[in-house]
Amino acid sequence: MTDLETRLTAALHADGPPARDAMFRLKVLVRLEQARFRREVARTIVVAMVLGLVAAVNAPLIEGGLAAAGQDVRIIAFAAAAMVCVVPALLIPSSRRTVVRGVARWLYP
Amino acid sequence: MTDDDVALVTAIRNGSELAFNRLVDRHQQAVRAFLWRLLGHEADADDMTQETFLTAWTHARSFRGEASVRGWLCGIAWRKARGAQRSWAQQRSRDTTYQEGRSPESAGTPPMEDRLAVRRALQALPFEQRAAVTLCLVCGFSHSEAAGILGAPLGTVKSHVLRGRERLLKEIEGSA
Repeated sequence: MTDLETRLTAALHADGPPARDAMFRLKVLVRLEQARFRREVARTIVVAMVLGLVAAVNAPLIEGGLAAAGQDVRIIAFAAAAMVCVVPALLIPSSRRTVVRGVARWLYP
Repeated sequence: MTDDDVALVTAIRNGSELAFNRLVDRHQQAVRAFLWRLLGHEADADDMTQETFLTAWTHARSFRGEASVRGWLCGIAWRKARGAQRSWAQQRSRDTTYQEGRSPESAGTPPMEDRLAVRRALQALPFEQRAAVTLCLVCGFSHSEAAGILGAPLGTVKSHVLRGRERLLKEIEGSA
């Protein structure tokens, strides 16, 4: 190898990134979490919209059911609203874990 | 390709974040070195390296074992860099002063003139030629591996590396 080639090799390998870089790894993980969060939020919004659409399409049926229910109408309305809120939230794994942990604590204090 | 690398990709396919951490630790230097030299701007290159690893995480199933894991990652990085080539070209002159005055000379490092001359000459090479030179002379890939990564014929890569190397040598000679 000539002197010029040695100098070229040395110059090409100078100023390279470090072999280990915990900060860089952390940044990758942060971006991974951000991407995951965006995906989950998008999925939750879609599910909430689908549930809303299903409710809107079946409005006459629901109205008929509510009319027939008489005194129980408030309970049914509360249950439906809770379902619309809870089902999309359960699609997010962290929320799911929290719910499971809460139920487990309630069952086995 | 080591068995460890195959095991890591298999674990990543099954959703193991620990394996992903190890993959990043093991290959970040090579992918970053490739993009640093290819794009000539470290912050943008790091940003693209992060995107490369995210793509590797979401598309781990696309790894078929035909190339090494490092080659597969550099292939993803290359496709991303090629896609963003235009905007990089517009920003090429950005932060040049900072980049050039960044690393102080210390014992054991090559002279600053050589480093600047090589950096300038590398950035003056056509994009594909720069990629071929970086893969073969900086990252240590063989010509055939580089051809696989770039999706270019072997003869083209060999010619790119030969011509690019000649230009870099000429630039170093002139800087002395």
